[in-house]
Amino acid sequence: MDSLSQIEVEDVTKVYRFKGTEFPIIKNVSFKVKKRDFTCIVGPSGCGKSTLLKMMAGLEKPTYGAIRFEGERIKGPHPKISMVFQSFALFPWRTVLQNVELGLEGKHLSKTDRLRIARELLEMVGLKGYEDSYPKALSGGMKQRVGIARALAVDPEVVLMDEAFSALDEYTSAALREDILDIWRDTGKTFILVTHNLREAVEMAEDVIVLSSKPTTVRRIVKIALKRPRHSDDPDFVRIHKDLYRLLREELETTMVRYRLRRIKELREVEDIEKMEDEN
Amino acid sequence: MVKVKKEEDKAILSEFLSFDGKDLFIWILPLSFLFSIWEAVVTIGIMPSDLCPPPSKVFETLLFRLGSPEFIAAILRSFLNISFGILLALVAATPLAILAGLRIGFDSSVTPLLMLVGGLPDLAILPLAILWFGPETSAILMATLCAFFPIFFTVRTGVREIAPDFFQVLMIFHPGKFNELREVILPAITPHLITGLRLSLDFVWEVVLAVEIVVRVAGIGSFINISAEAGAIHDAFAGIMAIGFLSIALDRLLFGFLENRVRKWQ
Ligand SMILES: Nc1ncnc2c1ncn2[C@@H]1O[C@H](COP(=O)(O)OP(=O)(O)OP(=O)(O)O)[C@@H](O)[C@H]1O
Ligand SMILES: [Mg+2]
Repeated sequence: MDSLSQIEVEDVTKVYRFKGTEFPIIKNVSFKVKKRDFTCIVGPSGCGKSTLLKMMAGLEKPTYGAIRFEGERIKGPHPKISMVFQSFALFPWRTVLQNVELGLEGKHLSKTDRLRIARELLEMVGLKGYEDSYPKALSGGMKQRVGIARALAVDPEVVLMDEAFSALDEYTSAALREDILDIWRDTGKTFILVTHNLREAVEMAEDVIVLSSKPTTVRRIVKIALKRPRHSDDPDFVRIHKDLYRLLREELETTMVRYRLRRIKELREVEDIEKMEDEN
Repeated sequence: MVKVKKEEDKAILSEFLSFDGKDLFIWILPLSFLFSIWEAVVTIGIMPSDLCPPPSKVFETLLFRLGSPEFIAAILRSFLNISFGILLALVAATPLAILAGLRIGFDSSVTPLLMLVGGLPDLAILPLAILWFGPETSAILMATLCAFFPIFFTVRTGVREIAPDFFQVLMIFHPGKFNELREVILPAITPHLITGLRLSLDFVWEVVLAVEIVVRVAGIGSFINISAEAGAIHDAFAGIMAIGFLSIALDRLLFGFLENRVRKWQ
């Protein structure tokens, strides 16, 4: 085991079986995440980013390969690993405060401590005053922030975030990103963020893992060595963002072109058959 | 926390018993309109009053009968048949429905069978039930049978509609088999359970009355039947009206109460 890495994804392949046929979603993905690192995972839509994150959370099993946390193979959810869900997944029958308290209820904490922690986190995500609201009364962005508060409330060592800022407006997401970076710097937690926003990845990450699709593999791991705080008008920022953008665009185009070529070929074949039938 | 919940409950309950302004109007207006027309129709003589007494007479009889122990006993009897029937159905149907909703294997082996039994007209089984269990127990068991299917199918739907992510959230934040039931399944099925109970109450009233009338088991059904046969039409009407009021009261008290709790978050 590499003593520096906290999470190791080793040659992971995920296959879904549907009506007896196997569909590989993720193929031979390997990477390592160091303790206290901030890693972003980017890739085309539907390429399996959420699936990858859920495997790291122990919610789904890799079909082949292994994921290790501090040297031990992850077999199920780990108390030190927490997650922000892309679908928010707040319990509608719980108030905002009770949703944030969820992860604290199984711990040996007094009711007052539990409330204090939950309230503090809600204040941090800017939802002071909404403690007793139910999720139905919140906008998508507010729900996302409750999800972030819930994930941080359990004081995890690793925070997995699935598109955690995507449902937010530009201003709120910028503010919340700064808060998360502060927490990251102050607490030394490890963050792994799935995003489709490349600017976000360049702003936050030490490492950006670029996935390619069909089948999904690691296309490249890009180190971002910019000084913090990072500004999106810094020429180096702009250059790195452009490089990443090009990398992902190539990826999208190859899949799109491949797809179109296949379609054209299929259509040609149909035409050929029709022609032959006409001639006969 | 528990205390806060109790106070919430009280607030909901009082909100509901003190039918305020608007609510009162919605209830009373069409009802009194209907009664006035009925009264007029009988008074003018369009309907002979020995076949259809005017509502004033029916109310009078009802008030009078409410003072008689036999009448109260008959109402109580029917009420108990219904309550026991529904309670038994609830206890039997809920766990099965939860299992069927969670496990596809269990669902596909059990649900078709239940659909087959549920598709039968409930009263078809009545003669056999009487033969096996006697008339008194049959009333309760027929009620159970009727209440079973609405509860089973609504709860099963409720469990199926739970987002898989909810279980994953629980695995991360509050793992434990018992927590799945307490924190996700039970709250998620509550709205469906209300619908199921409400449907089953309708069905159960009908079948319990039918059993009482056909088999002459003591209850409000047989009271109506005996009164009508004896020509005491006003008594029969009083019995029917008692059922009406009892149904409204049950619906408002039981389901209105549950519904208000769910409406907070739904
Ligand atoms: N339980 C499942 N059974 C079969 N296929 C699945 C299942 N879950 C996900 N998939 C498929 O796996 C692929 C990857 O899904 P996933 O949600 O991980 O992608 P994603 O990269 O997170 O997408 P997005 O960018 O939309 O968030 C999709 O094509 C999806 O259809
Ligand atoms: Mg996703």
